[in-house]
Amino acid sequence: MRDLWPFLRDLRPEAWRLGLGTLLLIISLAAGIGLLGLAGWFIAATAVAGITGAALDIYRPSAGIRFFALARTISRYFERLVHHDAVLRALARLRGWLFRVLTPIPLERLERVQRSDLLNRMTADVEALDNLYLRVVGPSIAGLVTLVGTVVVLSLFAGPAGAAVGGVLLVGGLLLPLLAWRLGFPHGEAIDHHLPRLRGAGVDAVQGLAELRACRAVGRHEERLMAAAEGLAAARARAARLTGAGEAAVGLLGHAALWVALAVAIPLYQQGAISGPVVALLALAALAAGEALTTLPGAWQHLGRTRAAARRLLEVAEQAEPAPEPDILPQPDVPQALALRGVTFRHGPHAEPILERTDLHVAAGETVLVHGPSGCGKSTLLDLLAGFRAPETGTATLGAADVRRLPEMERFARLSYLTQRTELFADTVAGNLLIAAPEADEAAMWAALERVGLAERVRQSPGQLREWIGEAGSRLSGGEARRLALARLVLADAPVVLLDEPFRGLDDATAAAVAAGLEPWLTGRTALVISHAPEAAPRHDRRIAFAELIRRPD
Amino acid sequence: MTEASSAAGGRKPARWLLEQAGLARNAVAAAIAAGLLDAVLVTGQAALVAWVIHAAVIDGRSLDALMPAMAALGAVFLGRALLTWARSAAGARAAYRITLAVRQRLYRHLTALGPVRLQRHHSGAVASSLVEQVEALESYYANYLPQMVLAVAVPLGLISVVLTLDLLAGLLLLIAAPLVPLFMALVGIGAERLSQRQQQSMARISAHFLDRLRGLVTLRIFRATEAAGDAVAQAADEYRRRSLSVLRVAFLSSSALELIAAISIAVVAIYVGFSLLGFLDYGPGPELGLFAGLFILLLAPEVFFPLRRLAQHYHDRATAVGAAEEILKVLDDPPPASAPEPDSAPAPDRDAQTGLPVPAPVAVRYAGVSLRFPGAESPALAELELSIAAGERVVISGPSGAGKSTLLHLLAGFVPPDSGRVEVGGEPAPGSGGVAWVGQRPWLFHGTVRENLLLADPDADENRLYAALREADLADVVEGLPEGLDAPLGEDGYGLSGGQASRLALARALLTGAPLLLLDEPTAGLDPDSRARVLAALGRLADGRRTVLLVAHDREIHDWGDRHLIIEAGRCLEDRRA
Repeated sequence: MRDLWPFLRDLRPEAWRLGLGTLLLIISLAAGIGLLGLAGWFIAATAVAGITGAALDIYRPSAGIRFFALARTISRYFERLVHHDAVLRALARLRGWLFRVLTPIPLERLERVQRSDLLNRMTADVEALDNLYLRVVGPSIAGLVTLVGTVVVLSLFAGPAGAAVGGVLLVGGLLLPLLAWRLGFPHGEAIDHHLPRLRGAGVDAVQGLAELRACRAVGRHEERLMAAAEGLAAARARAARLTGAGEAAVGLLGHAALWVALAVAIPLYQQGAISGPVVALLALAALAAGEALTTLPGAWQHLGRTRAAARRLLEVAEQAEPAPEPDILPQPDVPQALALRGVTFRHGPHAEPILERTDLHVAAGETVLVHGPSGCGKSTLLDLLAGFRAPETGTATLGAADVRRLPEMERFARLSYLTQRTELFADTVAGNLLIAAPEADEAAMWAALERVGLAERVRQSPGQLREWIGEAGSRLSGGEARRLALARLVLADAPVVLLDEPFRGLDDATAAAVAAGLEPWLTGRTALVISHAPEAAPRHDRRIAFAELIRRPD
Repeated sequence: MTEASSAAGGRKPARWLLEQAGLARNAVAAAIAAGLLDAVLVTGQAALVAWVIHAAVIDGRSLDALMPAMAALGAVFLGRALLTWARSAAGARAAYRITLAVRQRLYRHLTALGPVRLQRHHSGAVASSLVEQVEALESYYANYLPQMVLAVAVPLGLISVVLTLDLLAGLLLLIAAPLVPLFMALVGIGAERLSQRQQQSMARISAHFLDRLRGLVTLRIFRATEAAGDAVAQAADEYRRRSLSVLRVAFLSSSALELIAAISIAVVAIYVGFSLLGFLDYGPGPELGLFAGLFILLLAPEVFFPLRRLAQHYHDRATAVGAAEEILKVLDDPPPASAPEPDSAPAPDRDAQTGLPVPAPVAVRYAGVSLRFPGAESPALAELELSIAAGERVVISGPSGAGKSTLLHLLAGFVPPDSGRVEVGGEPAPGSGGVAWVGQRPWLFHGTVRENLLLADPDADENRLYAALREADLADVVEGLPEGLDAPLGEDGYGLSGGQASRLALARALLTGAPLLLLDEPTAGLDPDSRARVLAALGRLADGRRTVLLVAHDREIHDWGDRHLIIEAGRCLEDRRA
């Protein structure tokens, strides 16, 4: 249960909404019990009165019946609305929270998260938590309160008979959900075990079909896929049968309460302790009270999977890097020198080192180009200087400070980075630019677009700055997307810049034009540019071949 | 284009869903039977409860005298619990059988379509139709379909029981019960459209969340994570506001149902009460009695219960229809009419020491081969005549879209030619010995290094696997991994570099023992060092025991083979021998 606690705590701001929802649910459940109980009493009373000819107030009971019928429906309607509102509010906050806890996780881990289907799973997990809020917490509290209330009221009318009925319902009402939770656990785990296997085999079948066909492994892969499918379907069937068993048990519980009500009330009636109509009231109220519990076993059964979802979310959150002990902050707005001192780096403990005792110095205000074939690890150089990766030995420095010891907010106020991958957002041109400089006005945006030779293209689009660029910039060509990312960097206006293949995807003429546009902007800034070829880069003061950096001879 | 063609020749998803129920006819029937039998017991239960109360209150019988009836009541309760369980078990069985059968059919269909035809579909959508969309069918068969029948049969049956007891009460229910589906249909049609819109906006907000998470590095660089976090929460809150306006209407549909049920119970109770008092002098009123009165009262909620259950599972149908649409997009695409390949090749000769296969090279012939892809203006290949001798190493180059890859696809049997013959060793492609395939981005299967290799040769022992890895220049890498051959690969495991993945594919190719090796741009995107290692490994494989066709863009490897073909617009432009 500990895994769920942070999410329950998260509900505090919605306390009054959830309270109101639960209250409305109690009213609706109580009205249901009242409706059937009072109707039973009324019919029995009229039957007795019809025989004995005794006087009977028929208007108050029949008004009561009508009241309960309306109250049940109306309170249920508003209960649903209030509960859903509260839960959606909580989920909205949860998404914001999840986003914030993901931001400080280390780059290696983040890349892994982005590569796998973890992201999709995480969004599904967030949505899975509504089971906790909507189906477990509220209905459980409401069920318990309603049952206690029913016991009290029935005891007032029928003394020990009411207590007996209530006892049966309360014990069962506490036991069944807990039992469903315990028994549902292995099914949830089995589903969570088989589902990724099936998904993996499914992706393999589609993406690796050429290999499967050529290896004549179509039949063997079918066995593998169907084994996972069989495991999943069997686990789902077991879970469904358990749900059915829970439903049967809750039904039996309500019936047991009815049976006990009859068995206790009939002798009491014969002793003259209670009236005949109260026997009918007791029996029908007991039957209806069982309904307050109907949804609980099913909801509690799935609590295991909800908990697993919560645990996955918390696990990701726990990988956050602690904020560094801040180093002496270099002055902002002044270009600083960049340096690597004796840096060794490898991607894993068993991998070949990409850099070994590497030294590199870029003086303040200097533009340096590092060139080398693609795929050799040049980007790692920039990741180290941006503080995204930790060197095994040595330090990466900005001015006099170790970049790893500069908090990100401080680090990136002084340094900006055009990464290898062009990351654009499903937003407008302006929306993408404003990420770098939320205060920038239109003139500043146009100036930045002008510098990278994209202003004309944007001006010709119907929406101009408000033009939607599609998912990950899919409506732009590769070269346009790259230039928009460059414009964003220009707008950020940091005194130190790292550029990873700034002209990727640009034809030679465009690259030359963009290089000319960037030249005055780069003057006076500290810049480290990497490129596969010295021609595909802006003007620079000095160039170094990557191979010279890799290993310093002993 | 695919969408248009599948819509034209496609089947109706709702109909297809119903047809699949035949895969588990018995289980669906059992679920319905359990529900019907339960309705019989409900009637018995109501009669027994009403009789016990009547006998105790009106006739003054003692509990001891009522014990047989109480015992019968207990038995009915147990029977109902058993039937409730049985119905869910039968429903689960139906879902189990149908989902498995549909998955298997989908898999066989998409493997028959082959990798080339499959490119016309979105790969993510096909994978999801195999997993998520089939999942979405479960509740339709387990719950919705049996309940469809029960929601009609059970209320009618129970109402006819009430009719025999009291005509007016029965008529009352007979009028009220059909109002429920009517109301549901009225509100439900609107609600369905609204809920679709809600699903869309849910998808949008999830997409927004994913989009911002994917760009997290950029957001960190521009110190925009706080603002983006707020924006994510804000978008989610915007979604809440929009979905609440949807829910306000959607909840009306279930509320209408509950209101009709509650009011019917109230009206029946008041009517029965007034009759018992003798206030009403029409109908069978006065002689109704407590037994019949309670009996009717207890049956009234049960009339509405199956309808309420149907309402609960109503969205299962919409979900299943949506899923069936996606599934049919794949199933309605007819596979190419190529002969199915046998799943095993004749056992090749093996090297005594390493156990690696030693195939005999085969000749390859294209005889008047033409092929045009649907929707394409010009043919991919036109009347191609080409012979390649056994053991020859051929490099194929040409501009993109010239038909280079198509040459390989024909040999692998991924696509059949429109006319002409493609022969491998004198047999129609891919020939009885099969082909080995190394694509541009070799796919690493979910699983270990060993599983990735065993795919090509399920009987290989450790010795043979390492021999293949040595030939492919990958043994050092695998030995360096802490788990060795059992190191997991793929999304959750070790990522191999592009060059290493190509070499793993070469090791796989070696293990298949196929006499024909097809390579489609195996060195694209590799740095010179990796490319050199891949080509060196390839050289060891092309030792005269295999015929090799290599499609390459890189100028530097054009001189690699014995022969160089330049293909343009589906014709062989140049044929040069080294």
